[in-house]
Order: sequence, then structure tokens, then C-alpha cells
Amino acid sequence: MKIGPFSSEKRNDELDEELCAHVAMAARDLEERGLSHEDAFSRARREFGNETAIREATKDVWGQRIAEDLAQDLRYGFRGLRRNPGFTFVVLFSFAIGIGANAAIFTLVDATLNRPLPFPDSHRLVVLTDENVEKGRMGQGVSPGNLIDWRADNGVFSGLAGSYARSVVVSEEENSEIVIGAQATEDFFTVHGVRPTIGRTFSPEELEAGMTERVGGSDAGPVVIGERLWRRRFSASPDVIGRTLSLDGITRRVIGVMPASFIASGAEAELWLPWNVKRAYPRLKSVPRDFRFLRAVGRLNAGVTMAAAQERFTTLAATQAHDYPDANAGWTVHLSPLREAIVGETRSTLLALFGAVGLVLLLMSANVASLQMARGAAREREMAVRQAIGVTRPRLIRQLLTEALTLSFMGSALGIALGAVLVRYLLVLAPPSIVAMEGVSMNRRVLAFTLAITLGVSLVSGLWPAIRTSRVALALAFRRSNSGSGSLKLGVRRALVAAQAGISFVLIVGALLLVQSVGALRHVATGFDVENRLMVRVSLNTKKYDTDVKRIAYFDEVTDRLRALPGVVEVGATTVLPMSEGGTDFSRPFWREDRGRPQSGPTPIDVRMILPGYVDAMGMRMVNGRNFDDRDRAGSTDVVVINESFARTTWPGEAPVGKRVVLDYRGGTYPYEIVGVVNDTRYYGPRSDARPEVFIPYKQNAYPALFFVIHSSVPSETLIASAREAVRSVDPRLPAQNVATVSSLVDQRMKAERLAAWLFGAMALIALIMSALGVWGVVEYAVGQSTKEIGLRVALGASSRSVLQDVLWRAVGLIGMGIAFGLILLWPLSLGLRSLLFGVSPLDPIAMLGSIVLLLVVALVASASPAINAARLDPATALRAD
Amino acid sequence: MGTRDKAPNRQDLLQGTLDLLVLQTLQWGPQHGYSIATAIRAGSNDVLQVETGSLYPALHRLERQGFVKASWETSVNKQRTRVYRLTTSGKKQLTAERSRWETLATAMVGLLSPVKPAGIA
Repeated sequence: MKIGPFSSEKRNDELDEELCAHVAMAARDLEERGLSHEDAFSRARREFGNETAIREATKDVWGQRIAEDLAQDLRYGFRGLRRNPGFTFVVLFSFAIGIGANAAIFTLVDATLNRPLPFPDSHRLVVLTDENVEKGRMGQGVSPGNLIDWRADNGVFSGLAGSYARSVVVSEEENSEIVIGAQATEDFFTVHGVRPTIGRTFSPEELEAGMTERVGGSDAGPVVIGERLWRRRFSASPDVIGRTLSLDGITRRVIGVMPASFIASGAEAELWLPWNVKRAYPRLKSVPRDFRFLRAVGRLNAGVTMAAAQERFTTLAATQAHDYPDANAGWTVHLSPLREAIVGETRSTLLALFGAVGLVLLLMSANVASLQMARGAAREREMAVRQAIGVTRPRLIRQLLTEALTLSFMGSALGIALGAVLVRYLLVLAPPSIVAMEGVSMNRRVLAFTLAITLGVSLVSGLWPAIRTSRVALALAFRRSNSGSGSLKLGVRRALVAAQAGISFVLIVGALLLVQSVGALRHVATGFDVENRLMVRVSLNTKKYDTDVKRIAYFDEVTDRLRALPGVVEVGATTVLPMSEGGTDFSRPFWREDRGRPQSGPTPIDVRMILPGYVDAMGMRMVNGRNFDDRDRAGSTDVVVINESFARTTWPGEAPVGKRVVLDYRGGTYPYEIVGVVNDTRYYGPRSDARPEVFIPYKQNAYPALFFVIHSSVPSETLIASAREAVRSVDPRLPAQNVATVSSLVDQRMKAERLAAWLFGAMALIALIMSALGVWGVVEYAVGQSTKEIGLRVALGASSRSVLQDVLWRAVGLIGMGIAFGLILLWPLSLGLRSLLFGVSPLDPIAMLGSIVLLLVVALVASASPAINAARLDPATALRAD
Repeated sequence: MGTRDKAPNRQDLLQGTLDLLVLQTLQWGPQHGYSIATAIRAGSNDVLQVETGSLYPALHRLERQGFVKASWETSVNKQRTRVYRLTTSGKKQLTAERSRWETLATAMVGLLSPVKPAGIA
């Protein structure tokens, strides 16, 4: 019993008052007998005795009983658990896994769907995306031209800002690296409402000046950096303000440091540059409206609802579509809350997993409950004896419950430890921005949740068996007969086993769906080979390597030294490697030279620079025309190689080789001659289709950072050290940044799917084992109970085959019940998994059939031994059995 | 059960005796601690001195067991006191304890009497 501080205090005061009253009354009596007031009081107090001792002795009475009982129950409980190490181990293990998995998944769910985002009034932040239902293009960025209009007049936002994340080469004397940086428009920081931890953000003048390139010497433009970059490049120095960084060869002055939780332009952005959209397109007549790439975020005015804002923007978009049909016809704007924009489909995946681990916990509780009942049956005598000597039934239940609680809390403690470890492996399932914002770890809410499920589990696995055991014991105390309780128990156990089978069914289907998806993802034709391919990323110091000639010389040297390594077949390089993170990925407007700039505005094409060896090194092939070679260098005709998708979409039914394409790139619109067509690759992972791409020879555009790809005849892992050394030997100050096998990059893209497949596989296996044990137990028990009946049937001429069939049918019936139950659970679960599935429907018949067959096989195997025993029953012995 | 089994019965007996005396005293009507103590002393011709150190724990124990109920009342002298009264289960307990005690007392008297009971008669 818990007594609150208030009531316990009150009780103490009352006791004091009661004892004082005693002394006062004794003194009054003495006074009446003629003593002086003082004498009477001192004598009364003396006769009263030691007040403190009396108070303590009385107080002992209050709590004594319950504390004593509890200590006794705990002692009993522990003794019982020690005596049954097998039982204890199984139960603790079940709870640790069940509660641990739940705590871990809940941690992710809480961080992703519940914890407030680290922006003040984050519920008022809204992400704007362009969508064109007709063209099937949803979730596109917004265009700078449209954004300017919206900023000028929308009436629903207190602020609206855009940003654009791209890679930036940060170089110093010592080391260079590519980081993701964002160009941020006016109001960007105020909309998010986050202040820098050090320094300030951009002033109106700085925002007006924007990223004015080539700011001379001392008058370096400003940059706001993120905490991670600050720690890495400035060792978290507090006087970082005013120090400089070379970004893409331009010196910039640090004016502020944003906290690590400031994740506002994608998970990876580490620096922000001021950007004046109005002045960013000096070569164009107006700011483009057809170039949709901005990440736009607005802050709703107080009192404005999402619906009202959406309505307003639908109107604005309609006006823009009317005023600028070339760029905006068919396009509209979609507003979504920031969290929704960040979380997206992850929500349903997490909830599906949450549901699955919840089912596993339920299953484990049910399993423990049936173990407890089996144990209760064995202890019926003990309980009966205790009741006979006068232990009350509530007291008995309390004792059994204390035992159960001891077990579940010990299991829970193990589970929390396990969960804390698990969370770290499960992070890949949470949206990267959420993980980057404030980390994901167990907090008070997670502990409260764990406590709640522990209590729930204790009730399911403890209270019910406790009540049943004590009731049985009560019956036994008066009657020795055991009849009646058996059949009821069998019914309950059958229901439990059917529920287990149902949960197993759902988990097996989930696992099979995910395994099929991972298989399908692995076999997707990506357009390149991963076997024995190593990736090495190098970025140049743009101060030292300030001309194309120096850069080309450096990369030629690196290529030669890598090629010279033993076992190397071919070496190539590219500005963006398929499926790698943080490459220099960008798109530029283009059009066919023979058709001119389209009326409706040009569309963008992904542009990459490559060294000629890249195509062979990646196992790609030329479909048409030629690869780059020594002819293609600075000063010669500008050439490009395009991929099949580009050829197909822009020159349908024509041969593009020899034709010319105009790119709006490098400060102007120039024509490039197409010399070859290369096969498509899936750049953004196996799930996304190939996109149109154009490749420019490195020697005609020497970008300061490249991914090298080394194809070898030996396993890539063996080359890692020597490749690092080869790069270092060219310029000791430019170490390779990142070395990894290409196959690991591809695996990274399937991390969530693989992890989910593992989780479901493990859960399904556990569930299957429990179901098998459950089926075996029930069938064994049922056969034991009906020994007489079976004996009679055999005596009356039933063949042992029909007895065998009969018993097996019982098992099949159980599983059938379970599957029927499982089918109800299946729908929400597999729909939740949809975003992880690939090449398989959430209700894939193969997965369902496979799961049914697997369960049936397991059930038949589990019931084989009791069935055979039944079939071999000797009727003479069986009929004589009691 | 363990500790109780090991504990000697002597204390239980004494404790039981005091409990019985308290219940017996309350039989005539609600009383506070001081008056219970005086009543037992007076009723036993000053033979039984009730230690306050035993009386209050006993009262609170009986209250916990549900044999007595307590409430705050103000006496004629304007003294606020905690008054105990017998509950229904307390009355039952009193009857049970009394007969137990009588059995015990008869047995004790029989055992301790210097002459055979027949001699008295």
C-alpha cells in the first residue's frame, strides 16, 4: 500500500495529538486530586513513558503487515524461481525480447511521430510542393519565380522562405571535403524560428547582395555553419566568428553557428549561404518559373488553419497558371505540415512494425500465462494446503501476483537494456532528418510506456493464472477430485494456441513479403556491376588546384597510380556515383538545338562529369556511338554522351548520335555534340527508374571532386589500403575521403528493407516455435485426456490410421482457427509495410500460401508424436486406465 | 508464514490478553485511550497497569484489523480526543477471544490449583 506524503503526514499529526490528549487528560485528573498545574503535567508526562518509543511502536503497526507480507511473498517468489531455473529462464527471455523490441520500436515511433520538432511552434510550419497531376509529377520543389510572387502576397504566412541544398567543396590547406550546403532566401532563419548558438544570421544587406560570386579578398561573403561543421573544422572554437572557409574556391567569412538540431534543408546540410533569388539569374530576362527545385517552408499566421492556407494557395496557383501558362499550366501547390513532409511513408512502416512487435509481446504474454497455469496446476496441492490452514484467497492471489510481477519486472529491466541496444540498429528505419535533429534515444516517455506494457504483461501473464490457480486450489481444498477443471483449461489453451498460430501467420506473411522484396531489389537490373568494384572519393583543395590544367594533371596522376595497383582491371571516375550519398548532383535546363528553346520553357537534365574509364569500370556499355577518348579535351569540340532514357525521351525514333543538344550551363547556353549513347543506370537506388542523364568529359569541365571507381580481378576489400595509399602518394595533403565497396553502397539503399525482413523473420521464427510448442502441448494433453475414449474406439474396431488422422485433424483445426484469426490482422499490417515492399503485392498469394503451408507442416510435425502414441494405444491398457 | 511459525507464542498470548481487555472495555461504549487505560486499571483494582507503550500500538492494530473504529470527538473539557468504538466484527472477536480465554483460564486454574478441585467443593 502506498500512502501519499500528505496522508502520512496527517496521520503522524493525528497520532501526536492523540498522545498529547492522553497526557493532558492524565494531568487534569492529577490536578483534581490536588497537585499544582506544573507538578500534575510533569508527573503525567513521566507516567506516560517514552513518547518517541510509543509513537514509533504505534507507527510500526500501520505499515508492518503489508511490508511483512510483501517481503515474505518476494522471498517465496525468488525461492520458487530459483527452484525452477528452466521456467524462470524461458519467462525472463520472453519478456526481455518482447519488452525490449517494443521499447525500441516505441522509441522510434515516439521520436518520429510524437516528439515536438525542434522549432518553436513547429505545428505552424508548412512545406510547399508543386504538383502536376496530369504529368504525374508530385512532391516537386517550387520555382524561384513563383516563390517571389507568393512571398509578396499570400496573406496566410508570417514568413515564407526557400532553400536549395547542393554540394559544396570545402577546402583548406590541409584537407578538402565535399559537404552539403544550402542557399537560403530571405526569412529562412526567421521562418524556422531558430537562433544561432554563436553569432548571427544574415543581415538584410547580406541577403540583398546574395551569393555575389567572386567577392574579392578581404571583403569575403558571409556563411552560417552548422554545429557539426563547426566541431569538425574549427574544433568547436567559441571565437569562430570572422574566420574564413574556402567554399568552391570562394573565401567566406563565418558569421554564425546553428545548433545541431537545426535540420531545415534536408538531413545533411551543414552550411547556409545568403541567396537573393531576384538577382540569381542575371542572364535570364526574368526569374524562372519552370525550374522547380526549391524547398519552400512557410510559417502560418496565428489562427490560420492548414485548410485555409491550402485554399489560398490553390487560388494563387490558379492565377499563376493563368498568367504564366507556359510555365505553370497544369501545376498546383500542395501544402503539408512539416512533420508530415519529413515523415512521409515512414509513418505506416513504423506503425506496422509497432503492431508486429505488439503482437509478439501479446504472444509471449499468452505463452507465459500458459506456462504459469501449467505451473499453477503443479502447485495446486500447495495452494490447497495453504488455504486449508487459513490463508485467504486474496492473500493467495497476492502472493502469486507478486511472483508474476517479480518476473515481469526483472524481464522488463533486461528488456530495457536490450531495447537501448536495439534502437541503435533500428535507426535506419526512422527518417534521417528526425535522427539528425535531436538523436533518437530512450526518454521518459519510453520508460513510462515500458512500465505500462510491463504492468499489462504482468496482468495477462500473472493475474489471470493467479485467479485460476487459487480457484482450483479452493475447489481442491474441499474436494479431492480434479474433474471439470481439465476440460475448461483445454478450451482456454486451445484458444491461446489458435491466437498464437494466427499471430505467427501474420508475421510469417510479413517476413515472406519482405524477403521477396529484398530478393526483387537485389535482382533489379541497375545497369552497372557491383562485383569487385571499389569506390574512392577525392576532393581537391580549390586554392592549390585553381586551374583546370592542375586539376586534370592531379586526377590523371591518381588514375595512373590506381591503375598500377596489382589486380586492377580498369579505373574511372564520376562526379556522382549511382546510389552514393552526397554527390555533386545537379540538373540544368536543356533543349534540342534543331528545335530551339521550347515555348513552354526548358526542362532540366541531370548532368555528370566523367573520366572515360568510368563506363568500363562500372560495367556499363555503350549502346551507340563512342565513349570519350583523348580527342575530347579542353579546346576541342564540346561533346557529351547521353543515356538511353535521354535518347528515348528527347529523340524518340531517331538516332541522337551526331545531333546537338543545348545546355544552359557554365554561364551560358552552348551546344554540345552527342557522340554516344550509354545504357541506363538506376542512380537513386533500385526502386527508382532510370532518369535521363547527360555526361560531359571531365577534361572539358574539370570539377574539383570525383568518385573513383576501381574494377579489379581481386576482391575489392583487399584493395582498400593500397588505394588509400595510392591517393595519398599523389598529394599527402589530400587523403581519400571515403573508401567503400560499390556493393555496400547498393546494400545501403536496401538497409530498411533488409532490416525489416530480418526483424519479421526473427519474430516469425519465435512465433512459429511457440505455436509448435503450443500445438504439441494441447494435442498431447487432449490425447492424454481421451485415452479411454480412444481405447474404446480401437476396441470397437477403429483402425490405428483413423485414430492417427483424428488426432492430426485436431492440430489442423487449431491452425485453421488461427489462420482465420490471422487474416483479420493481416490487412492493416501488410498495408503498413507497403512502402518497404518492392515487386510484390501486400496481399501476395505466394506469401499467404507459403505461410499456411509452413504453419500446417509445423503443426503436423508438432503433433506427430502424440498422434503416433494414440494410434499405438493398446485398448486393453487404455480401458483399464483411470 | 515462516516468521510467524518460528515466533514463540508467549508474546501472542500477552498481546492477545491486552487486545481482549481493550475490546472488553469498549463493550460498554466508545472511549478514548486514556479512559480505556484508567478503566482497565480501576476494573482490576489497580492490579493491571496498562503500559501506554503497549496500549496505543494495540489500539491501532485493532483498528487495522477492523475490530474497532476510531473518530475524533471533543470532550466536555473542550479536549479533542480520538475515540474508539467496537465494530460488529470486533464484537464477534470479543466473544471468540473471551471463550478462548475462559477455556485457557479454566485449564490454568485447574493446573495451578495446590489441592485437587474436589477439595474446594
